[in-house]
Amino acid sequence: MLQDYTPILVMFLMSLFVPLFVISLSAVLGPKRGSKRKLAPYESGMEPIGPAMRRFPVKFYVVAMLFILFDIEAIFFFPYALAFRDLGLYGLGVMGVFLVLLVVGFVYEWKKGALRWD
Amino acid sequence: MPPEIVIPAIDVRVIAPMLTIFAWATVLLMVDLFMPGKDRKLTGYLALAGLAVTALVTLAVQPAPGTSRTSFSNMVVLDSFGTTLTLILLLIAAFSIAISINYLSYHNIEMGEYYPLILFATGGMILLGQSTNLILVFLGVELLSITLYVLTAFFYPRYTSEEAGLKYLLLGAFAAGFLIYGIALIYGGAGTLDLFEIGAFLNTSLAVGSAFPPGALLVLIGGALVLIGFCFKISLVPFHMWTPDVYEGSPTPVAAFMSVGTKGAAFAALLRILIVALLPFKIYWLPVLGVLATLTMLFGNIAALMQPNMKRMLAYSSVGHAGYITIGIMTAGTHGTESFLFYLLAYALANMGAFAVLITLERRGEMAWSVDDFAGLWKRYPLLAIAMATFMLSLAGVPPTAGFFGKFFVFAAAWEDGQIFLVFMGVLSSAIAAFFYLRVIMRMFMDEPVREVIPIFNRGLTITIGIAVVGTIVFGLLPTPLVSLVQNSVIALGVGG
Repeated sequence: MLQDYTPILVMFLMSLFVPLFVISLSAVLGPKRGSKRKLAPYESGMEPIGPAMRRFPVKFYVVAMLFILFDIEAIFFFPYALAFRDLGLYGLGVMGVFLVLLVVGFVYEWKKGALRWD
Repeated sequence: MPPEIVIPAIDVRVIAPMLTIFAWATVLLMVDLFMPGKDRKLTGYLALAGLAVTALVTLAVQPAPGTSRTSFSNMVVLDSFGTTLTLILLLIAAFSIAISINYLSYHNIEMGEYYPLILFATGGMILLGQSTNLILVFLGVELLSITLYVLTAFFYPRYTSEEAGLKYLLLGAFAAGFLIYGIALIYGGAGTLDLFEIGAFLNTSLAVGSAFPPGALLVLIGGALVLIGFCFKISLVPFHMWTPDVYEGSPTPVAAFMSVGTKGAAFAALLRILIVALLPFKIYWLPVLGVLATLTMLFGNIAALMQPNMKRMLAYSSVGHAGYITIGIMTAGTHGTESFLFYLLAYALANMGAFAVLITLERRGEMAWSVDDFAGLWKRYPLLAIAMATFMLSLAGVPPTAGFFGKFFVFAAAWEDGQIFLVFMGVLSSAIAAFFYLRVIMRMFMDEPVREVIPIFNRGLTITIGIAVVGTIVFGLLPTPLVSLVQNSVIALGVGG
């Protein structure tokens, strides 16, 4: 019974091992000529240390929202691609509705200027 | 070999009202986007037209008396209860939009998104009233909540509005956590999310032997968590803390919409869960709801006594009314459905009217809503004073208004069920409530004006107040047609029943 879950365990161990291996590999092999900028924590190009009560552009938030929009689209399209033949015309119709709603959201974003960066 | 994919049979009639309103809202969003100019009133009128079309569709697909239709693997049901509730919700939404159209431009917060958001929220409410699957209940709750988070924060750049939006978002997320955790536990216990199947599971598992089966215990705990999640949405004491702040901060039409629409839809979903799925547990949830109802009625009405701010007073009064509706749904299984629907409609008419009167007195850039503004209103604007007096009397439950019969049916149903103590507490708290409702009437009719107040009238406000007054009085004098309507609105207890 529990054997059914062995692949998950293997997967778990692999996902633990691979990043650890790669990170230690780069720590051992990589050149270490750190400067102040290089050693600073990565903050998407923002100043990493400073007062928390400052203004920062909400543009990042909009980009994140857009990302979620298309992420969800991709997540729904992968399983649909697998079951494309079995679902037939019904599946095509349902995905069509889904896509129309996505496009509506996209057109809304576009017209509201969410894609303009300035 | 992959498993065979079975496409469920789909009866579009079951979701036709939702389909109409969602499609209309989506198209409206696009239409508003491409509409030139700064004037957004046309979007509002188109939204009203959408509500009318949805009402026609609802009437066209309504099931024959005593029957119901299910579809999408029994996830959605269309029964006469759902139809009646949908019509009431559409009326509430229409009132909210009618009182919004000039309010938004007057307060410089006119944006086209407002109306599609109201339509989406209404669609979520309709879904909540029709879903017979806990996942869809959650979907409905989220749909109406997320749109309302935006709508409460709509009064940009007013800080209290942002505060209201954030408060509602945080507590709403908290409530959603309770709700989804409860749903997960129910699934763990019963192995299904279908309300009919949960009810059948409880019936069979409780019938066997005297020991309490562990699956049923999980459903019991999960049911309690689901109840807590709903208590936040319908603001029962002690889960009501957000209500006055959110109502005060949000735009007044949104507060009006929330105070009736959200509550009505959430109560309807709770009623369906209690009747269809958790009826075998009636001995457990009955005392819990009794305590919640008593606390809510007493606390809501006593807190409303202290409020000099009309908007906060109406918020606390809406908390108190949630207590009365809770008594109504406690009689789930006997007269719960009809007393709930009647009370909801009576309360919707009076409360929307009272908020509409509040809007006529609301000044640009002011946040007072003081009871003082109502002082001496009778001498200057007698019709407005009479309208407000009608709403206050109906909220207090004084005959000959619809509010009286609402309270009467709720208390009569509870009395028949043997809930004598609750009826006593209800009448007692109504007496407390009468004090602050009548105080407004006293100020309007007896006092001299405190300061110069010029009400703003426009077509939407006048029509809303007019319909609300006429409805309140007509249903108070002739409740029979409405009574027969709500008595014929039954919740489907089984698939295709």
